[in-house]
Amino acid sequence: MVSQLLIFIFRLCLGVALCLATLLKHVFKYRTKRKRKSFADEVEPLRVFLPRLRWTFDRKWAILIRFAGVVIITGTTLMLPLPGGLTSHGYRAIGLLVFTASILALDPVSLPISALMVPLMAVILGVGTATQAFEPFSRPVVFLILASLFLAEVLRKHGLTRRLALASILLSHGNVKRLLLNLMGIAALFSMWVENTATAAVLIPVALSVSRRVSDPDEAKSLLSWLVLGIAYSASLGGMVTIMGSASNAVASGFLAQLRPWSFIDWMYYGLPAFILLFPLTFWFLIRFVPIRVDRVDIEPVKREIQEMGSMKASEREILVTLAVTAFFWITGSFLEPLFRLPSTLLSSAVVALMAVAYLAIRGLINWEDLKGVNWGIYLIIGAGLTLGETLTRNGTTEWFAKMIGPLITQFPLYLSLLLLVFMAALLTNVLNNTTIAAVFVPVLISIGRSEPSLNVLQLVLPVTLATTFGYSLPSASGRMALIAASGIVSRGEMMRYGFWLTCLSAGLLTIFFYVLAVLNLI
Amino acid sequence: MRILVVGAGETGCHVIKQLKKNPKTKVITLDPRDEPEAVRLGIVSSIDIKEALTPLTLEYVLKKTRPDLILLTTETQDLGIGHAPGVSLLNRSLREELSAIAEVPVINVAPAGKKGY
Repeated sequence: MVSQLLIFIFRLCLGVALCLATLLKHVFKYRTKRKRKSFADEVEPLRVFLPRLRWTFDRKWAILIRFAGVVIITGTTLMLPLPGGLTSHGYRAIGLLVFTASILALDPVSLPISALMVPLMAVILGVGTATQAFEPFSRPVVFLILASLFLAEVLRKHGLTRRLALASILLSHGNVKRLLLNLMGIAALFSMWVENTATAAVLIPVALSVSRRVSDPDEAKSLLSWLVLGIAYSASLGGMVTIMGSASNAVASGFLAQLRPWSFIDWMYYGLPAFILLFPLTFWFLIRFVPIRVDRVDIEPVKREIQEMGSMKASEREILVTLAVTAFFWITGSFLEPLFRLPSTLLSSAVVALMAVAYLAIRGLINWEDLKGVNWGIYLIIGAGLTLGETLTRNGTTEWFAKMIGPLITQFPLYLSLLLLVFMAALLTNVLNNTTIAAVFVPVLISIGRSEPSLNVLQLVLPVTLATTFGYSLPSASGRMALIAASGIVSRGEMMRYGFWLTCLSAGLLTIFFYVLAVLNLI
Repeated sequence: MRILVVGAGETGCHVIKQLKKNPKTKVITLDPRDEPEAVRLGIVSSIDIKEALTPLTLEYVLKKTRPDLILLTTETQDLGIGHAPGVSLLNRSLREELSAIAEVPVINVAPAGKKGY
């Protein structure tokens, strides 16, 4: 058993090392140098969104080489001797896991297309039929996420996200700390209900506009980095609160719903308090450790802009009311359904969300042209995550992992097990896709939780899933971090430095929170 | 009339070609890339301003070019910052932000057959 465990740990380390190889790719993405010429008397503006220098290497060859890397890694894994206690099908399922992790890390093609290859590979490796491989793509939770993307698009299209962001800037009265708090609050509030990378993408240009009021480029840079990090961190944290907040929540909920009645409010019961603890910590971290050289910003232009926008239009008010009603049914749906003897799942989260989208479409507030523009890729990524998890469970790999990891968790006191799991998830999420982490670990933890009477499944699943939020250190950690790295607003060094320490602090606090819940028998 | 065409990618090429039909129109091109499509296809010999237009550089660019009208044609790939998730939405939001804050008329030009702005 010990030798198997060592082999497993060795393979895990090897996998992580391969994923870290993606970092090299970022190291070689040089940016064009700032041009400082002409207009000698003028202060040059702060420049972001500088394009990467183009690879001199042929792009087609780069794709082929990366894909060959994925095939070699997967093939090598499959050629290793069969570990004891695992069937050949189970081992091929590990091959699928290695394929998923390497293709998402090396990204020879874009992420959604990589995700689409997961069910394809499941069929090729003989660990699932086409029906089994594609079935998870039709789970309600996938449609919940899709509907939340549509709702995000309604907010963006009608300028509501921007209007509320401008109002929050106005409320800060120019004080940069209040400005950061307000923007973080808006980012968190929106990302609770709509996809969090979409929230960050809409708010980053607002942060750019605020920073342009600072004339000194260095001061503007410090303010912009500060605000953008705050937006990215809080968009991630807001995603902890609800099932649709992040793809890993959706995947974990998908598995929990197969185990026990699991509704929207069940997730919020744990996610909301965790957010309430972590949000102030993140704000404190930013004002305490991230240097800022500006105290105040001029908000007069924002005042003028809000005046020009005029009061809220009837359509905007209708959207806000629709969202409030939707949130009401998300929260109370599981109580109202039996109370009024409504058809089963009529008020389940996905159905309620799609009802809201249908209503907004009937009212002409959104149309197909708008919906075409949303990030449909997330649909494929969540579906692929669920397919991977299902395949590992169906082929006995999850049970095998559970037997390997189980002693590590059950032999230690709960606080140590939680610390180990939370830190592992928080660190892994920086190099691995968080949907993959949830898809692999949630079934394993469910299996461990069910086999050990002293443990509760939720005590293991929720901390690990919520810890995948702490992908703050690398661009590969999350869509938000990839976005701010691509924009060049925050350097990779800054991202790693602040991200690592914030991850450690947040993971520590999350561990304490779930340990206290367990001690008080609240979970 | 001085028209600043932001982005010299696929959409930018169409816009520049059409604007050039009127010799009275002064077309100024802006793109952060070394050799965007309009240069590669020979539609313009070089880009006038090698710059990424953001709220931070807007004032600087306006001073430098003094346009009467800005046409935003930047597509996601024209940003040249890769294909991270959300870059497309970020591009749309950036275009909307520029339209809102610029003190000269800004028109978002949609690529033909794609999502309108």
